[in-house]
Amino acid sequence: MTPTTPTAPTAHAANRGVTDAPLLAAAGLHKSYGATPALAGADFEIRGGEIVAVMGPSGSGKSTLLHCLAGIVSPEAGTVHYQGQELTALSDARRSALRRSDFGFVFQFGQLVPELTCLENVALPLRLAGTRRREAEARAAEWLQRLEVADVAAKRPGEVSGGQGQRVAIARALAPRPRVVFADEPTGALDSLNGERAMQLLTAAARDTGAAVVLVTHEVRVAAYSDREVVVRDGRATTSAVAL
Amino acid sequence: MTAAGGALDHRQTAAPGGGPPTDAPGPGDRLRGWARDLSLGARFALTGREAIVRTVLSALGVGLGVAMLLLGTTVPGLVADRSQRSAARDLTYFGATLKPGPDTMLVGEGDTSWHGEDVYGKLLKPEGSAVKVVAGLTAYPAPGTMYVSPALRRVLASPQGSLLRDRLPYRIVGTIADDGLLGPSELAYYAGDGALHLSGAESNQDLYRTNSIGGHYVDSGMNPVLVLLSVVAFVVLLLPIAVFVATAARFGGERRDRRLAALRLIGADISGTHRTAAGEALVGGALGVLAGFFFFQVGRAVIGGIEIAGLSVFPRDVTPGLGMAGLIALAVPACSIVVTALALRGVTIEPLGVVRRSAPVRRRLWWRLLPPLLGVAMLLPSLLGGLGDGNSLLLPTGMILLLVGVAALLPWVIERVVARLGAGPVPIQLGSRRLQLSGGTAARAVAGITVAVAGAIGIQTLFAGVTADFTKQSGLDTQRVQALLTHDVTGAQQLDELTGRLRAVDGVLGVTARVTAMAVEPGAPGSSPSNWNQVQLVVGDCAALESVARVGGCRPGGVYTVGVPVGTTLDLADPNGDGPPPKPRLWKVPAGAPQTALSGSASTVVSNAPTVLATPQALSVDRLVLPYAQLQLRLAQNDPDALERARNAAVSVDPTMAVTTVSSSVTLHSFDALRRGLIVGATATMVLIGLSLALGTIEQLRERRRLLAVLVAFGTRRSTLALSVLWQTLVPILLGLGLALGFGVGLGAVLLRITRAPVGFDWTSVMQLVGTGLAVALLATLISMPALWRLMRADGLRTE
Amino acid sequence: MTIGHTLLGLLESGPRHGYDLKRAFDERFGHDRPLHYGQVYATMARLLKNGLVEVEGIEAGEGPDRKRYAITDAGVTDVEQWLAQPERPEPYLQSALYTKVVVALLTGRSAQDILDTQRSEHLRLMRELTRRKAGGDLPDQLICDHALFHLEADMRWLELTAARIDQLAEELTR
Repeated sequence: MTPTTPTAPTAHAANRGVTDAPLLAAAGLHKSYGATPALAGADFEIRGGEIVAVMGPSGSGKSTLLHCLAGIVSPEAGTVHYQGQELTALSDARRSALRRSDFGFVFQFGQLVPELTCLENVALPLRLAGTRRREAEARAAEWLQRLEVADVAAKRPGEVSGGQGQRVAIARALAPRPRVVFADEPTGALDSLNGERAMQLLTAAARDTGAAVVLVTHEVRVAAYSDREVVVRDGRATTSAVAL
Repeated sequence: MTAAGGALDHRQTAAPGGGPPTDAPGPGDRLRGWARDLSLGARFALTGREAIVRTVLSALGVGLGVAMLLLGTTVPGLVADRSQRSAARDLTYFGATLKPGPDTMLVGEGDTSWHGEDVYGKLLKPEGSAVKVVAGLTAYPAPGTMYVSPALRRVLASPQGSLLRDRLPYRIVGTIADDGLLGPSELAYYAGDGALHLSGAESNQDLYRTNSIGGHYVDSGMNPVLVLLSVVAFVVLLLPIAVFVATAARFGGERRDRRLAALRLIGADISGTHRTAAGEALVGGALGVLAGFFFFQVGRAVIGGIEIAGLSVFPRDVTPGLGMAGLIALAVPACSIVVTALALRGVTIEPLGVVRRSAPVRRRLWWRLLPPLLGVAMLLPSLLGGLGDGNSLLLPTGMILLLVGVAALLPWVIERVVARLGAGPVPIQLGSRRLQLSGGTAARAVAGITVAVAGAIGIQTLFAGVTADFTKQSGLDTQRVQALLTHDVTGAQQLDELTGRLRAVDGVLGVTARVTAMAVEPGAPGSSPSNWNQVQLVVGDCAALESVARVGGCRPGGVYTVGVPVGTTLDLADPNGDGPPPKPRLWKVPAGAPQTALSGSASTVVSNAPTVLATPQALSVDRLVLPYAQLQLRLAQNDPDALERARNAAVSVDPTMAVTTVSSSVTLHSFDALRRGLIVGATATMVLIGLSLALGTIEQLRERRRLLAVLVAFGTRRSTLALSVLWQTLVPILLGLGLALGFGVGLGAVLLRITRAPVGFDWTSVMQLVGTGLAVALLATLISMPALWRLMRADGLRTE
Repeated sequence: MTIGHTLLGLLESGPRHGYDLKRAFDERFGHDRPLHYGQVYATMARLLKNGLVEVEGIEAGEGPDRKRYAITDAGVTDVEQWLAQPERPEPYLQSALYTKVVVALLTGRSAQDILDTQRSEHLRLMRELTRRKAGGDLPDQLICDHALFHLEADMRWLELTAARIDQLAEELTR
């Protein structure tokens, strides 16, 4: 295990003159799968409305960091605080509830339920959080419109193109108006043009709704949509100089 | 990846030998191509952890099915073996009265029971030196000694066996060999009894002279209704297994399709990929057959040690016919290939992925109606003409078609119903949408259970309907009488001794004894005695007479008549027997004897012939010829040994006297065995199918692990997913059971009509069967829950 | 200024003669363009004038330059500043960046820091271009994309170099 690196973000916050407390913060995260360590003392912070790119080579622990931040995976050591609340101390049920109400997710592929129509897919997290079906579907339709895929509403994921499917996934992540969107290689399966468009729509929508975005990617052009980047190397996260 | 790379190599090396691709391939090339595709598929089935797990699952499923099929094919042989063994030890003599000779032997029936288990027993007294030795023995036991079966030896040696030791006071000198026993756990003994003797030449059912040792067995000729029941039971048990084997061959279908798509990418044509798929299925099927034979061998070894529903069998008797075993070994892998080919029909495998028909072809109804309609048509001759010989093959075929019809109609019904679902809470929406997209898979999963339940309902209905024919009402009030002893008595002294000893037994609360005998009313002089009127005599104390007729104000010395005028003179010595006519023993019905009537419940005990009822003070038992005693015992309810002690008391008077328990109905033995067999078989079938359901669900969940992980990331509750899985199983099961109910009741009605029994249903049992099906399905879902829990961890998201 | 900084960096490991410097330079960086003696002489004269190097001694003999140069404290500071300063992201940057990385490795400084700093600088420009793209019309977007793709290529090189930095250090010190 590598020792924890001193946290850089505090310095940046001072530099930027950002005074508000971080929305989501992790410190000293350790997590290993079997004998392979995925995280070895990683730190992370994100403020409300901020878009942070998490970069690093394959297998560096980017996705594991995202899973820990979102409370999907429990770290072996270290803490995750969301709005001052210790995430790792919450029960599985409470964390699930938090993910339903406050978090949104976009993955690289295979995230849409193949049996549901695109509209139903977007409405799904709203319904899981307790919204009535009619209202959920109305809001889902708005979001499909906003992401320029209103025409695929009645189709099943198997019948739409990769770019359309990914936009549906973005609509689904944003529809419940989450405070944080976790995007794990959201353009990984798309060509440049579709990837660019998806990123433009995702970041624009996130800025509109004030959602923070944790953007895991290995593509610099995708990371360029962020406000700042964090590089994960050998399971440790280092924040590069703030650029404004 | 390894396999795909291998395939590429394969094709590259094969190309030069195969000549330029534009040339029409020769027959040899084609054969080689086929072999190549098949072996490639076989390699797929065995390369990689996932593939091996899937192949093992298929092999296990098919193996269990094959073992059941093999077991099924042994049943006819098993029955034949039992009959043969039974014949080999049969001592019954049919024919003219025998005189003692060098080859004759006296046989006393020593059958008894031990805490509900039958004990086969014979008391023997060879009368000469040339008596053939019965199967299982090397010599006859000397007086006072006995040969016992291994199971009986164990019982006698156990501490609990002391009462039985008292009843069988013979010294054990040897063991009955297996060929003299019906099963390994049969309780049996042969005892030498020097005291046996026949007073006259007359044999009776408990003591007879014989010279026919084994082989004289007369087949009772199985009742045609029993034959029908056996056929139905066979069909009902084995058909779901066949359905099960077909579905087991399809485990892991979706992943296989993706692999085949990779094959298309490197240049395989469609028929080539189909052959590769066939090769893959063949491995599962072939391994399944091997596993099946293995399971069967193991099961056979185990089977000797267990006894199900009172049946035990010798392992070496459980032998499938060579032909049937061969047929299974060939047909099962072939079946798995056919199933795979059918499954691939609806799938277009393109080089860059699998295209399922996004809007599946609407299922058509008309051809699905063909099997059941054809089935009914085949049952019609039997329906109209009853059970005959000409329609013996039509009947089972018709039934099979009718039951297969359930499986054929189910996908259509599911599709129709499920198309309307989808509203409602999230779990129901998820489950319903999944069913809409892949209703066929769901239908296949539950088809086996549906067929099993439909068949079981049909057969249950038939059983319930014909039970009336096979059950004799004993006419006894089981509250008042718990045990019965019926036996010939030598006279009043023996009867009193018997009654006295039974009354003295601890736990016997009361004994009523009556004796019946026949007398004749002598006709005009010179007329043939065979034309004389027969009169039934019943002798017993007032309490005993009370139990068969209305005898108000009965007192010792009283006489009552039913259909016999007072003053009639009766001859108590029946002149109708063998040999010279006996001296008449005349008795006159006293003048004051009131007329009365037999009470209804007595009908099975006392015949409806003209009857005279008398107390012993009016007519002594000693004056009767061949008096036949019936003693009714009332036992202490909470003392199970009371019955055993009563048996010992009876045997102490005469070793052939057996006390039997009483139930309100007496069921025919073979009928009972059949019903037991059906219960055992139906249970095994249901459990097997439940297992396959669970495996199928787990497999399906495994294929969706990534999606499950994504849904968990979204904060989906476990209960939501569990409920959707439940709904996904519940809907097809409920529809299937509904269909099964309809078809089962229909089949039952048809079968009842064929046996000319009144059509009626035992709804409690029918609902029990439906409930069992439902329970099995729910249990299968429950079994798959730990897998769901495990798969809902975030590991599914890790695909980097 | 790159040659001057490079020569300064080479001097950091110990005083050298002019021709030694030329040989060392050629060996590490001058694969296709070896330095002329005149270039070395002129550069050293300028460094001397700025007080970044000093003459430690002059050997007797013939030849253009027999002076032994040593780096001054001011010279070390100058190298430090040069290394810490990210290059302006532009095409064909790698020769300058590569030089910096090698110098850092030779002088025992952190090459990783140089690369990280450069990464941030690149990303800053890329963010700016991305933002401009979002607000611009199609010609603007296409122009921005051209630059973005070039910068992305640089970034790939940065990542690759970062991943192989230990290997490079090993080869240089061999």
